[in-house]
Amino acid sequence: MALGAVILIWSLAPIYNMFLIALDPEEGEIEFDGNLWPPEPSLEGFRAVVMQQARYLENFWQQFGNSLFIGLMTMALTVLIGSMASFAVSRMRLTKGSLLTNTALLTYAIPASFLIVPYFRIMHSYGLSDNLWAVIAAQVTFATPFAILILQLYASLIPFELDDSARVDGASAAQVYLRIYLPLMTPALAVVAVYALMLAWNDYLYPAVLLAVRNMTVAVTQGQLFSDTDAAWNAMMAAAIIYVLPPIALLVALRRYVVASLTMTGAEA
Amino acid sequence: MIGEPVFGVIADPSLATILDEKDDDREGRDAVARPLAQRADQDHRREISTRDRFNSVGPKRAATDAIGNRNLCLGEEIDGRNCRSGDDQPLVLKIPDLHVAKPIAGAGNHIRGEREQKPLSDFSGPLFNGLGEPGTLLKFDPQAPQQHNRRRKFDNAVCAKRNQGKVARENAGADGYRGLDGHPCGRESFQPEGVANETNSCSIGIKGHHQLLGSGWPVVKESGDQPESVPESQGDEKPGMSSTPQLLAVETPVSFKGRGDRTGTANLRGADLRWAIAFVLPYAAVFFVFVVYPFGYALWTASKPSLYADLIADRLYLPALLNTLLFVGLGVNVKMFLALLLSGFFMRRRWWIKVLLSIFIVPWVIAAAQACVSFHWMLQQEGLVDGILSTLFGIDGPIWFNDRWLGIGWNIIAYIWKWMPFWTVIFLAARMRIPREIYDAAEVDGATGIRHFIHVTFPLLANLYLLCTLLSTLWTVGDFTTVYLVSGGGPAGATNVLATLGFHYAFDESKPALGVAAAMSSLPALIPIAIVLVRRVQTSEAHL
Repeated sequence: MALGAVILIWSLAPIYNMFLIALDPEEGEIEFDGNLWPPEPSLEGFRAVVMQQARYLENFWQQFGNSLFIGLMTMALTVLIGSMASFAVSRMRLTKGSLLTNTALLTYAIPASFLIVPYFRIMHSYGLSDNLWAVIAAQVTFATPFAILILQLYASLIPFELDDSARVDGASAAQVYLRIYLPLMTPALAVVAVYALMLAWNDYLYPAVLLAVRNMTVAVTQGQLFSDTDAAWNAMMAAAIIYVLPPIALLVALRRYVVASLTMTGAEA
Repeated sequence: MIGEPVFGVIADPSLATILDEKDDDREGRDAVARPLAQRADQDHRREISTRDRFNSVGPKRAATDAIGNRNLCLGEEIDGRNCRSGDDQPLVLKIPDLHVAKPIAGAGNHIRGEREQKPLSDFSGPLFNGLGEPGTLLKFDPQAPQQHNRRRKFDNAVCAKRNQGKVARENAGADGYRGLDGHPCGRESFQPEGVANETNSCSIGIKGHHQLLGSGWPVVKESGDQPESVPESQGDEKPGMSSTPQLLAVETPVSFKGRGDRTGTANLRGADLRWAIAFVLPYAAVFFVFVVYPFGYALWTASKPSLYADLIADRLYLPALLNTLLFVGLGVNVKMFLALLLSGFFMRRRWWIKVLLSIFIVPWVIAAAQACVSFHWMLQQEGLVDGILSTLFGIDGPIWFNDRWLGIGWNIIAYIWKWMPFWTVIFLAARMRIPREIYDAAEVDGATGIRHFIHVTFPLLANLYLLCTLLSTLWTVGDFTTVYLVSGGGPAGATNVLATLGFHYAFDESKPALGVAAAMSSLPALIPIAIVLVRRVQTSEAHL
């Protein structure tokens, strides 16, 4: 019980802090009075966000849309490309398929943040500077190897007899992929989708460097207020809370699959 | 036919001599018995691993499998899962219903249990059925007439397909096709059980079946033979394959042809290969365009030696190196250890624990930028942390970010806060895969509490723990957001890590090459970790 309470406080403290600041009625410079509880909670901050009335927030909804687009496209492309590659390697057992998986994992040998300068240069040379697709491409590149790994591990739990009986019935490879593989892999695909979305939604460095202000995402804008003590803090924190809601909504929507994938492996044992 | 690669299998020339034999040509049989006996040895060795796999703890053997074969235990059935004969060999047969002959148990026959992922080149297994189901034994099940029709249709269809284009068309039987020996396919040509039948090779291995006469394979007519022929039985099952090289020559659309890359030749053909390449192509394109090119560019930029001299001379670099070591070393290990312990906590089945788990995952879900900024402002003067300290302890907190070590400490805490939930969930999932029987057995032996963890859980999770630690190390070295937004690189750059330092050089000081060099200077440590990680993942595939 005590441990549960510690976990609760530990997990929620910074988030509580966000709420604390968001509910503060004053604009402008935040004065920290050492309060543990907002003395005069008000929704002024949230109103400022929705109406786009505060500094840094003029383009909030457009930036929100940018983030949404990047997140959803990353999610879709990672799931698609990852599942196709994983199907060919693990279910069709393509020759030297393990070479593909290992090479994919080499992507992680150099951390993403080390490669920001090369990515900046190559996006410029590919003509994708200040383009949302540059960020999408970068995120997909870094999400797919992990997705392939997870899908391969999960697919090893599915017996090959299912594929074989489909083949006996005359299914082509594409049909096996669509009718057998994808439906059975739904929990793992859900996990991969959530992972890819999280990666793209929360990323700071790549959108910050690869995009200009016009196309920026909310995550970056939020980070930029770091050094500016003059911003409307309540509005900024309110914006932060609003930004967090879609991933949580997705997680809640897909939690059945995520939990199913966990418990399936448990039931398997 | 001979020597031609078929399903990645080379038909053995020595087996071809069997094609011309009569049934009672013992001499000819002996001529092939030797190489087949050699195969039997390999088979026996391989059989042991199959037996172990087959007899391991696992799901109960199903009564029927997906295609309709029955699994019949010829030996002694033990708790529905293991099946042993007198000489400790597993003895389950997969039995489609062809009324060919009756089985007689206990002859020490090699049996593959369920169809394992065996290579098709494994001629040395028991009788192929020639219908594209390698590794399953000859089938006979007098007790299962209800599967007759399904099996018959399947057989006829495959037999028909097999004989497309073969010469025997002019002697077409009732359904237009013939067995390879000229007799029509179709059930009416199958002989009733127990009768030696040399005529119909469409029936699965009947021809070879009868070449096993005297070899210990059970045939009703020669029941007297079995005890003496037991020692030979291991080798002499192989003649069953006499008919199968021909049968295997025809394309049967059972599975994606081939069994992995064990044979060394291309195992996918035709349309399958095209589809496989089409499936792999998108990722290959992404890889070449967005991984190979940037990596190459980075390595090329960082390969100038003078950059490294500049780096060491710069006042920011060496402290950043130390900070990185601290950040990664402490951050990763403390986080993993706590994640392991907490995964045990979250295993308990109470409703409030599940709610707690959902709350616990929230830090992972929050965008790193906002969370780190929130941390930063939490630690300002009179922020939340100071408020808590003054409320609980009545002291004023220090100016956290004016001190290098406090700054590093808070970076680490923020990092653990954000990433521990993710690894906890991974460990939780792995713990849930541990079968309950192991826990119960350990409890019977008296392991409780801590000993339970030390002797049961941790050894099983050790491999996963190592893999996760390595992977997390790689990710942590590249963690830019946390340090950049919590301590901002600290007082005058004292709490930088290599990632933020690279950014600083590239974008704040306009020296991109120096930035790339600063980042790449960690490669000598990263590459070995990556190699070790890939090796361990390869060798422990199923256990992650």
